[in-house]
Amino acid sequence: MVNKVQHPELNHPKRTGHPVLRFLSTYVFATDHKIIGLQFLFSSLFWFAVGGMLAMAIRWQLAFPWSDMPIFGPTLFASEGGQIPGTFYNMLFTMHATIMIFFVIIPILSGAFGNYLIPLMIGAEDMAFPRLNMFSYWFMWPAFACMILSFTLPGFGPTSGWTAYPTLSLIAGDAQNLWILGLIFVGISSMMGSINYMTTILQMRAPGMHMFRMPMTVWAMFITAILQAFALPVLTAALFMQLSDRLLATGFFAPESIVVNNSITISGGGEPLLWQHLFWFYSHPAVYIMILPAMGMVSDILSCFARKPLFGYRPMIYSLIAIAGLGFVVWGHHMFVSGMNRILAISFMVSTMLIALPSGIKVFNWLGTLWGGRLFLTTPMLFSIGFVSMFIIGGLSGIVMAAPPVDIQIHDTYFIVAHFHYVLFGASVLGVMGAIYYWYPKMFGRKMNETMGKLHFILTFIFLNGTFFPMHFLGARGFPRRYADAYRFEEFQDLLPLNQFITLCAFLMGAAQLVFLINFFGSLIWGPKADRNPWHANTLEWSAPSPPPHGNFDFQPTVYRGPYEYSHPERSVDYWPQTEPPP
Amino acid sequence: MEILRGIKTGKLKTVRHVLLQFICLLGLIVILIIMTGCNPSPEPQFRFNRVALLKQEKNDLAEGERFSNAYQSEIGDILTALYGTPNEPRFPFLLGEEDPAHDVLSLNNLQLAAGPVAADRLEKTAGLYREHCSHCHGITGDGAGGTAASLEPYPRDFRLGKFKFKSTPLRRMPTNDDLTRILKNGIPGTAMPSFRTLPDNEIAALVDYVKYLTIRGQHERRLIAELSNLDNAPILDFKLLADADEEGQPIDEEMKAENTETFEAQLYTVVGEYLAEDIIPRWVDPDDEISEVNNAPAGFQSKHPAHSALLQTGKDLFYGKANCVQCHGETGLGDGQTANYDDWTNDWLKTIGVDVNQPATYQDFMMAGALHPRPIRPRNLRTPIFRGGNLPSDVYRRIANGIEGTPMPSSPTLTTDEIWALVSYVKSLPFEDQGSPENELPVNDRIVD
Amino acid sequence: MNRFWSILFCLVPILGTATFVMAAWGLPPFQGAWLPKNYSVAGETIDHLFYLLNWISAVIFIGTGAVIGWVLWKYDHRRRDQASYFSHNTQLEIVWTIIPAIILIFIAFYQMNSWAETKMIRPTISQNGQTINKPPMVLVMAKRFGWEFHYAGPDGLIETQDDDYIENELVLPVGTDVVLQLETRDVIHSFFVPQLRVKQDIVPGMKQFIWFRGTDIAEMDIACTELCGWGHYTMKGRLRLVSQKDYNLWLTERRAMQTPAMDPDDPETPQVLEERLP
Repeated sequence: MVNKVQHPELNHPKRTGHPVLRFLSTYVFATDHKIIGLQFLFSSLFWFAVGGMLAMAIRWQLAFPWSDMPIFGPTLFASEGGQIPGTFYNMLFTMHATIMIFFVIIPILSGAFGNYLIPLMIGAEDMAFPRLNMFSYWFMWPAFACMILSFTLPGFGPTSGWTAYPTLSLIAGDAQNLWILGLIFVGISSMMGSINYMTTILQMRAPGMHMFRMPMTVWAMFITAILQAFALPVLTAALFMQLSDRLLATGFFAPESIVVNNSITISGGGEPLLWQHLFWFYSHPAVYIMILPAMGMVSDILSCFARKPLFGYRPMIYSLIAIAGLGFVVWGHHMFVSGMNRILAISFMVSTMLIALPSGIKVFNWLGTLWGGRLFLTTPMLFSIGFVSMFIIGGLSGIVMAAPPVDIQIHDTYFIVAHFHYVLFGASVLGVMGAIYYWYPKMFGRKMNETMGKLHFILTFIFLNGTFFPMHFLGARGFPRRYADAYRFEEFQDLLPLNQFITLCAFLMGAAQLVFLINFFGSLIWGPKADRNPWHANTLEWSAPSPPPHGNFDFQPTVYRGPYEYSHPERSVDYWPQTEPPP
Repeated sequence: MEILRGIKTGKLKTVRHVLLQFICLLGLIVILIIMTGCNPSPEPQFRFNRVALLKQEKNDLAEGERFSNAYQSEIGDILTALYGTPNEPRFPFLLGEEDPAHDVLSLNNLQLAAGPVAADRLEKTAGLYREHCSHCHGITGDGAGGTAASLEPYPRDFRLGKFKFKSTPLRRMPTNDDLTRILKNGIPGTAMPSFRTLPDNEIAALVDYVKYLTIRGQHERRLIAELSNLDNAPILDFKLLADADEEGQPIDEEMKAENTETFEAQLYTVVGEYLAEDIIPRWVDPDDEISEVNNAPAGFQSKHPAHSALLQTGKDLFYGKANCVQCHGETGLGDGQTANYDDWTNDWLKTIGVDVNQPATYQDFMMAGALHPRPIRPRNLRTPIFRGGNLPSDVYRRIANGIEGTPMPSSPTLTTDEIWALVSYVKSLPFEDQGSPENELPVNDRIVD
Repeated sequence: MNRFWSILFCLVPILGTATFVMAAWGLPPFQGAWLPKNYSVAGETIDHLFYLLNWISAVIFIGTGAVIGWVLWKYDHRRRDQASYFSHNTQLEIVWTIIPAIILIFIAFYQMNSWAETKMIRPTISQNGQTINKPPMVLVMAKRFGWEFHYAGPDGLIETQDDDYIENELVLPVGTDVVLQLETRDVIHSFFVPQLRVKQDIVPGMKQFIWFRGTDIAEMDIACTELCGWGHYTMKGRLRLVSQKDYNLWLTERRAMQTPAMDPDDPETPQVLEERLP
């Protein structure tokens, strides 16, 4: 309907050849990287809500074990008095992890922001392969369908954890097949994205945009794309192997003569540890896939609001590359007590210690960026500082766990849960939130409400620490993860009050996201209009209109300098856009 | 600026429009969830034994008798009146001091075991059964909990009143110690775990609750079996107790006395005859019935010179007089006679018109809650797993008394020494080296099915 | 307003470290929310490492936290007209690469012995003049959902006919090296005793050995820490560490139960110590 309106920018002399698009091709089967980015953004936010609800359900069970669970109890287990069965709890944490990792963090970072920002930041009019880009979004939908369908199968979904260790996953219900299929689709989607990102970044940079003039965001996306391209095939292969184990009895991951419940006999000849190696060979780099883009975006935001050049631009890039490289040789630290060769643990420990170095360098460089700046504590800036602060905690607890003897005590306890939630929620999600607040004016042409943004930040920040920090203590005590009810152990009975405190914080943290929801959708309608460069930032996307039209730029961008020329002493204004010709 | 305006009037308005709809939809979903989700779940109820009713119906109709399933709700009401609900258990004959049920179970124990699981575990006051047992055995004790279908063997259905591993002979009830032992040791080789880590009072509570569910189930089956072919008259006609008839006319004294007498006779049948005179006495003092384990011959010790002779005797009996090979197989792998079903399956599988080879004939039983029939497997004696316990006395009792509910018979014809010889042979079987056949090769059910 | 945020971010390391110290000292409301009391020799080293790493972390945590707080406090845009313009400092980069590297290498080497002792160097005994690995006392068979403990019988070997079998209760002597052999019947389980600092995944088709030396008489929980199905949380076992004397007594009692009552007239009949079970 409205699409018939002639877009003036489409007739721009430089941009001919873009036909007027109909609704379907504009918003649904879009090949425009920005629309695809927004599609990723919205579906990720939707799944973020679903995954969050699952987390609330998990916390409910841990605080009030077996009591009538709201929503799930009366709808599904009325005949049991609302008491959930153990498998339902297993489904909850399996799906919480799966959704949060594969449907939220990875798509929102590389799908949403990667898509939206890469062409804009390097001055390209679109991705190298727009149609492939469209497929990379629409291949998420079969995955969504698989996951939603799996909720309807007996057991209410896959129940073998997101790690899906055989032989448990081999004897799990049919929902596991859908889970595997879903992940294979996610993998295909990510693969298409990563090919696209690499090609675009290598081939489609605007004139003057050297590799070492690219913003950190683009660098991070580039490294992430490389990580995905090399790690994903391993996961996909492993998933196919597990699927064929389940459906064709190939026995890749099952040893000889395993009979479960006297009835299910698994054909053998394989090795359960093989899956763990293959899985973590992907899933450890995946951890970096889930944090590197956020690191890149946070670097940009910090530099912009400190009004100061990013400290150590090149060391930052080198450390990104080092993290990515080392990321491939540290997977064994997930397996110190798995029964893997015990001498091998030492070498994985050493490589894990090494990977702490580049991470540390990044933290120090962020602090160096802030030092001596002129700080504007806007909402995106607060989220970014929050990112650094939380990443420090996640990183330090990582070093504690990297020591194999200590890992004996805290492996598979809440210490681990605390660690990866600090990294994935504390760091990645705060980074994503910061990025949403930062690029929102570019995406929708309006600004979000600052007061609500700060309220959102402070509530999230306080309750996130209230939720995840005490988990360190639970873990030191040995409180095992994935327990529906640890209080039947004398050892852990007295930890119930602490868990109830955590649950309270978690619920409040969940409620705090409503502020974000209202702000996000409200600002679409009532937000004040934003001009091209509301933050006075340097990078290329800010010289395009807000929101950028199809084809992005209304002029041919040429790049004259690096992205972080803030507060240059010889200029009257404290920023110096990359496209501004030298005087 | 013109360009900017163009975008805003064009694309973005649509985006906003769609988003508004999206928000409305989200709100609707939230409201729906709140409406369905915030009402607390209703209290759980015991499930009616529809399998028994269906069996009764089919048998009665096949034999040309009358059948009415109109009694279903009435039987349910009677049972609720007598036994309460899963949250508030009751038991008849526990009120008076002299009542016989005191020897069977105690109300305190029932209350400790019943009810929802207590959230605060520091002070446990209720909910033991639902914390530990109902996943498999079901809230009703029908052996059809959430995990049941995936287990082999199926969890025990208490309602038949049959227990496999006990120190009393066939068709006798198990003693408290027997049930306690099962709870403490678990049943190796099955999904029944050990509850050794529970305190003794909690185990006692669970034992009493198992008995409660069993008696309730036995009573239910009895009511179904006896009453389903009456005329449509109520089992317990409470109208007989009324002071006035249907038209509001007062009933005269003589009539009333007669009515009361009829009602009391009905009540006697339902509660007195079936329960107090038949079911409960069998649960009182089963300890008196414990079967003896006679002294073993000295050759039972592995270092005794007579040991190998005893083993040989056992082996001969195994293949000869005791005829163990018939079911347990030439190899002892449990691969002999394998087409039998246990009593819990046979209970409905033997219904007239049901053929195990034609699933269509028992589809309605599946719908009524029966589990898919699976043949019972004779024990593989080549693994050192003894479900009823691995003490010599346990194995002795299994051979001497047989196993309730299974094709394993008692062996009245064997002498004490012969039984001990068999025990000795059976216990050595898993470790027999030379000439011992290969373990059963794994078969992939997924493909075989 | 900047001051407010500065304090907020400063609170993270302050409260974080404070709660850690409170938890470690057992101050309310964190009493008991820390490493459980240790009952094994190797556990002392592990605890020591845990403390050491946490102290190192605390120093870095407070240091970086203080920098964030200071930066927010000092460099407010309302109090500064112009940000400094500098973008790198190679010497600084080298310093903050080398110092953490030294710390990390120190940590890496410092802990190797502990790992070797707990997981690689199995206790030995001498037999016929030869030093051999100590044979396992108990075969721990994990299954869904419980622990089977198969004790070696009088022959001292597991997996023989005279094994004793008990579920969910493990009784072990203190003061000697205990070697356990771990196996599973079905899926992956993990044998975890928090108070002994012992954890080992048990993979189908593999034998795992673990060893430890208990230091004091105690009773503790055994938990499974690898997801094994719906009843993962129900895999609770009880471990009783008893004195060597009590252990022998308990073992004798268990073995006596394995012997049935025999004809008292037969001179070969052994003495039965305890009344047998029903």
